[in-house]
Amino acid sequence: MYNGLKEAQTSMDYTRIKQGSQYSEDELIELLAQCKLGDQKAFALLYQKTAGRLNGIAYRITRQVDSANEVLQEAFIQIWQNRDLYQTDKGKAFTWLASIVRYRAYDRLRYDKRRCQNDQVEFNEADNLEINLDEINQHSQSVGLGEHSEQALNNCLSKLEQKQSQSILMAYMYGYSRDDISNYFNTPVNTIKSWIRRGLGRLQLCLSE
Amino acid sequence: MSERIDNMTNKAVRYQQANVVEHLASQFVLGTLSSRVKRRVISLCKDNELLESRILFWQEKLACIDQKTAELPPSEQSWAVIADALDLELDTAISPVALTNNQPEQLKQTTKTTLKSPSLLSSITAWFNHAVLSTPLFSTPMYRLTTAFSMVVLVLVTLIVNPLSNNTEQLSYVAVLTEKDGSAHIVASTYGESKTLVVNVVNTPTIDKEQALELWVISKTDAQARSLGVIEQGKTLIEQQLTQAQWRLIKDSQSLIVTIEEVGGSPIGEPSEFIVSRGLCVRLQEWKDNA
Repeated sequence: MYNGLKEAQTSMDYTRIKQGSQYSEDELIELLAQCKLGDQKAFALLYQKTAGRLNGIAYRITRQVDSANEVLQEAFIQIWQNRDLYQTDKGKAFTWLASIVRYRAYDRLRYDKRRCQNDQVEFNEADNLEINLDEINQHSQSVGLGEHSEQALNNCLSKLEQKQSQSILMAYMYGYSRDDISNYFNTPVNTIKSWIRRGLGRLQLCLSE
Repeated sequence: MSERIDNMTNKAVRYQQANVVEHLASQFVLGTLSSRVKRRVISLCKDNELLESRILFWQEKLACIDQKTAELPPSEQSWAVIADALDLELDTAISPVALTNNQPEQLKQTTKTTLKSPSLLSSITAWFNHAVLSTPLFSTPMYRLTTAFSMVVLVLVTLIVNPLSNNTEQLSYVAVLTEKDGSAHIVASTYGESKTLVVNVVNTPTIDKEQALELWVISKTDAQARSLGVIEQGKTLIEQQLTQAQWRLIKDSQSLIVTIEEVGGSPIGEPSEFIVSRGLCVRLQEWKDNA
């Protein structure tokens, strides 16, 4: 796991970066740039600023505090080890960080489910579903609020059939597999695949306009 | 041999087709691909710029959802685990924020100067409890009912006239949670449409270290209880920004209750039988209209 760290080759002016958990995209880009140079302080500051949000994303998917923390830890280890892979022309810094966390959380969710099934412990999804649907509907029905990208997404989601948008968001936000969604809607999994495929197709056209 | 080459060529061509690439990219970002296909996509990305660019497209378009996700403070140990795994040597001048509690729906306290002195409300209610409710005259049920109502009026007036938080918006919902003896335990209120929940803890019942108090909202639609979070011990004034889902719970609420749970909140997502206090949730506009 240890990757041999270089000493920082430049000294960063940390007074320009505000302490605390608030951050701007520019700050994250600057911190990641410093991380590429082996700046451990920049890495610690990156953690300070983003860990809460990223841990929230991990928890949103895993619904287990311990699992979320472990996902966060693994993600930050990966972030440091792969810091050279981030490029500003390929996307926003937060998107890169959040994606690492999200994919790890999906994997962790699958692992936890398999472990529960093997232990014959009931994996009760019912606790999550009511509140999930409420937040999902918020995303798929609210239009004209928030930043431009959020407005665009909400606008496009609102144009989909409700079950298409719900299925897409259940997968993205909560890591629901197609089988999970099939069980929830009591609908054959092939129908769910069709909902998701058609929904994504229409979403792609709308988002590309 | 030529058949094998044809198959390989066909596969390579297939992964350049826009519809196939779009399907793989979008489903990869959604997390709905099987493990085998996901590994294949990761492998393909190294040489397939189109596939990589479409994955980046979907990640960017959906990332605003992640930007809006509620924060959850990491455990104190998380940074130590990371630092240990990477063998970091850090200057202690910058150390990651490690919060003392790690509960997902904990009501967080904001920094307010009012915390340094007893709250006006708790002073009033303490005086009221001592000077009024404890006298023999007010020990009968009728008097308790009357004084309970008076208490509600007093609390509402106090909140309207002298908000304990710095919130300048109008009071929208309020609930006065009282214990079995009628004494006020908590006043929970929301302001305007900012979806801010303010919890004033008037009297704190004594609980064990292994216990916690959790605040629940009872829906008037289905009478189900849903948690608003664990009340941090020792705090008298707590302010929290509600999520859209929590705000809808408030708007649909019949009453609020506080129960004793284990540390971290109810493990099963339902309130225990140990109800400490309860109170009806009143929408202030309706109250004003009916006054």
